[in-house]
Amino acid sequence: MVGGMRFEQAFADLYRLAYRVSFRVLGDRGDAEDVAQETLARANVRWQRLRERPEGWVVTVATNLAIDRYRRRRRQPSERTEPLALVDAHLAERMDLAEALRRLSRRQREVVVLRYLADWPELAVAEALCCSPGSVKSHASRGLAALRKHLDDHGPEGGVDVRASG
Amino acid sequence: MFEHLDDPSPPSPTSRTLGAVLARAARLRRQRVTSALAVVAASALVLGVGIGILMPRSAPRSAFSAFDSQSGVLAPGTPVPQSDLADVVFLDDLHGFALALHDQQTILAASTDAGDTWQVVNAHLPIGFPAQLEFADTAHGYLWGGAPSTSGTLSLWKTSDGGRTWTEAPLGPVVSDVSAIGPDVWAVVGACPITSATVAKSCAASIEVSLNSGNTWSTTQSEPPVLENNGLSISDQDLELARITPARAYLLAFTATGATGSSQPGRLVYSPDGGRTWVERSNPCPRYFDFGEQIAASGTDDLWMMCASQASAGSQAKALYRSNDGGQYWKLVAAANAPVLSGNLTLPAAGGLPVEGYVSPYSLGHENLAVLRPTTAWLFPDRSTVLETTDGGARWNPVAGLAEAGLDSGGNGNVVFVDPTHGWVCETGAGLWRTSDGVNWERLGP
Repeated sequence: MVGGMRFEQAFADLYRLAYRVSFRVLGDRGDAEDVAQETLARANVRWQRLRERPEGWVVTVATNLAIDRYRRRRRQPSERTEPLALVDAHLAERMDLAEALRRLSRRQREVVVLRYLADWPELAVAEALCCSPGSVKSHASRGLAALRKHLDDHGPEGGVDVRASG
Repeated sequence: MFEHLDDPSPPSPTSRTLGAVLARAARLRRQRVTSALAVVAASALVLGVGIGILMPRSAPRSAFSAFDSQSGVLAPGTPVPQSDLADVVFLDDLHGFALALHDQQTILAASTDAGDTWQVVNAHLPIGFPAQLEFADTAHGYLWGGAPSTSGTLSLWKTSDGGRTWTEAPLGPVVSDVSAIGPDVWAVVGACPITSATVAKSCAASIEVSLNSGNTWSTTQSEPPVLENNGLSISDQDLELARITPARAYLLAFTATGATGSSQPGRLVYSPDGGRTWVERSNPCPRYFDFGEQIAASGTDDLWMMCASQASAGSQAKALYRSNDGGQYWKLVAAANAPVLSGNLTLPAAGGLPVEGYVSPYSLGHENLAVLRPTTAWLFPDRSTVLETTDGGARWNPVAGLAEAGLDSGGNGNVVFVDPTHGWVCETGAGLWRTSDGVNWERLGP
């Protein structure tokens, strides 16, 4: 946890966090780096308000920016013409994940992103979102069910494993 | 749960990363200040109107309310914001056309005031971005590229009324490039449709010529001795035509074999007589730097060849070669080495070009090398800012006036000049910039 630190001190950990969740959605290093930089730039602008507990905000904003980036990419499919050798093996999973996350309610998405995309324990999610662990459990359960339904309906064979764990 | 989607070797943030983030943050703060000032200005305007004082203001975003709010087909004449332009072409220092992205449609817009304002000309084009656009004059234009049809064809469309209506030219199956000099139009046509059965197969290419703005076409007397590789990309841009005069033209064909280090280099051929005969010129791109190639010229004999490797994570190895004798002898003038992308091959003359940013073949629908003089050129790689050279390509520096423009976000865009002093740069999401002296750049629109 980086609460209370100066931005420059907290930067490296928060950057890795933002990069990790955005890469899971986008699967492209350049795009994930860009999303991480944009997220951290926005965090810097708001640092006085965020500094005590920035992680949840960073994960949520990075995920939202990654989903926005995914949607733009979908509207402009020509923008990426990577060579065959570099094609992402999990591309279909990522597309379904982004689409499924986009369809969740805001609160469900926050919980699912922190709990499962950032791999946080329930208690940490509750603290980050200023709600009770029971509320996290409830939103996580419903969000996961919605995620699973979308991925079952639209996902590839052997797609994303959405069994609750941990 | 999603560990398998992780980057196995995530990059470590460095002090340079922190610097880039802080620069972005500074830009965000400036935008906030600008927005706050705009609110104050708007309030003052309302107050001014209330007391009978008119306050001038330039191009408010409300001018684009129709563009922003309508999701269907936009009416001709609808104002188009500069931030939604994806590709601009100019005929002179006033008249330009652009492809713009609206909702999920590609629309044609036009400007008659050097890019200050744009209006919809046609909001239901026959093909969508990354279509390529060329206009010979304010009436006659050509549109090709985009995504292949279900039968694997890429058609050429022409207009004779400034883009309001389009008709399909009887060429095909695959139109790879087009060049118009007045009513004299050439199209490079591949013989095989783009289907899974023909991916990576090499097919014959021909030059189709029209002397009446695309109304009738005929094949040149001799076929250029090149093959097209129709599996390269969705818009099949492995053939590039560089016409210097109505009679003199270069045709570059590359086959994207650099991925595997194959020893089949691309080919460059030259016709001095309107396509009646073709002579082979040497292609300088070395192995691994021949995955993408693009050619530009400032005159019949002054050629610039950009050779590039595979790309990843925003980086691509690049090499710039120059020839002052029409491609008979080439000299390496600058290189950007990225050994992991170029089979560990590194070139001398390194440092003049940045590794960051994509050029061919990733610059789909992105005209990014504008050569104006033997000394001066602009380069706008995808996911990079605009670079300028004034020493013949040895050193490339970010254009100072565009450093804060946010042009490195990877949106669609291009750079175009009509003469050494009048140029434009656009990128979707970032906006449109113009120079009238080749040095200073101004942002157009809101």
